Amino acid sequence: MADADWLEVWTVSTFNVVALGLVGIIAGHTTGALTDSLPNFGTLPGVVTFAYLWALTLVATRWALSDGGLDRIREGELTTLVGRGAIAGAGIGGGFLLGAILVGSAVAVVQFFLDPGTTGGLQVLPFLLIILLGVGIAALVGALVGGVFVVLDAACYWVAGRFVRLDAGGE
Amino acid sequence: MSAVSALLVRFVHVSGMALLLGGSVFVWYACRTAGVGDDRLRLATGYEWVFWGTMAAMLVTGVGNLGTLGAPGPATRWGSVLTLKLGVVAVFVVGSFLRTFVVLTVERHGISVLRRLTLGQFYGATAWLLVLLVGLAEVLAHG
Repeated sequence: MADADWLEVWTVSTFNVVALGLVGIIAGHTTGALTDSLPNFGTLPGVVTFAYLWALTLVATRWALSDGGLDRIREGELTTLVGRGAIAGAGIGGGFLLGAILVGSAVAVVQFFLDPGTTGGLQVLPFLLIILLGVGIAALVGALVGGVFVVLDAACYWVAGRFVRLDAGGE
Repeated sequence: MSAVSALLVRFVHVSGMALLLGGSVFVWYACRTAGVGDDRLRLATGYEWVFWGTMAAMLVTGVGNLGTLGAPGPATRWGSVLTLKLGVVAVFVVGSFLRTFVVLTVERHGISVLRRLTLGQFYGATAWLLVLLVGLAEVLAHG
């Protein structure tokens, strides 16, 4: 497996995270949802959540773009790239929720040991089933989002290709 | 959000914009005055690395600023200007993605593959869009 171009990985992963964030902000603002939800979200949790999503996307994009990157579109391999994008998106979605659950569980366990009276007994099996179901749904949503973003990335790559001419004058 | 973290978020946001705008003007001027050789291409590539890292920071701190100021309703005047600014940011981000792809292609295949626009024109357009965003941010900050 050939390693991906690092600038391409950095650009594509960051663009996708920023674009997803922007879509969320624009949707939240135009519907008025931001007005209610934003004051309840702290600075540090916000930064950590974003950094975690960004790191997951960076790793997944590196895998998705290995073996030729977006240049494979020129060779008619868009479907392969969309498939890789969907798998990468599933990994990001599932990993994101799993990370959030692990952090939440760790906080709950610490709270339980500090003050057992505030936390009820833990039902392990239902809890694991809920995690499995939640991560599965997050992976499905992530796969859909990942596939859509590969199409968007590919469209931008195609438009950028209008500004260059590789058949003549290139090295 | 505490006053210190609000100030820190604002500081990173303003510094990030200074870096993006100053960097784009610098690369644009370098391309205009000295043509596009290996040094200019290295400068452009370096800017792209910094640009995307900074854009991520701008998004996080932009949301942080909104949290401090209190996100307005979309129907207010402030809310309408914010909608406009977010729209321009969306166009800017997609346009920048195209610019980076062009720089990547030039880096891989040489400057002779460029047509229609020069690298300097891409960075000039970046700088002008950033000036528009600074103007909209000023309207949001000071009415």
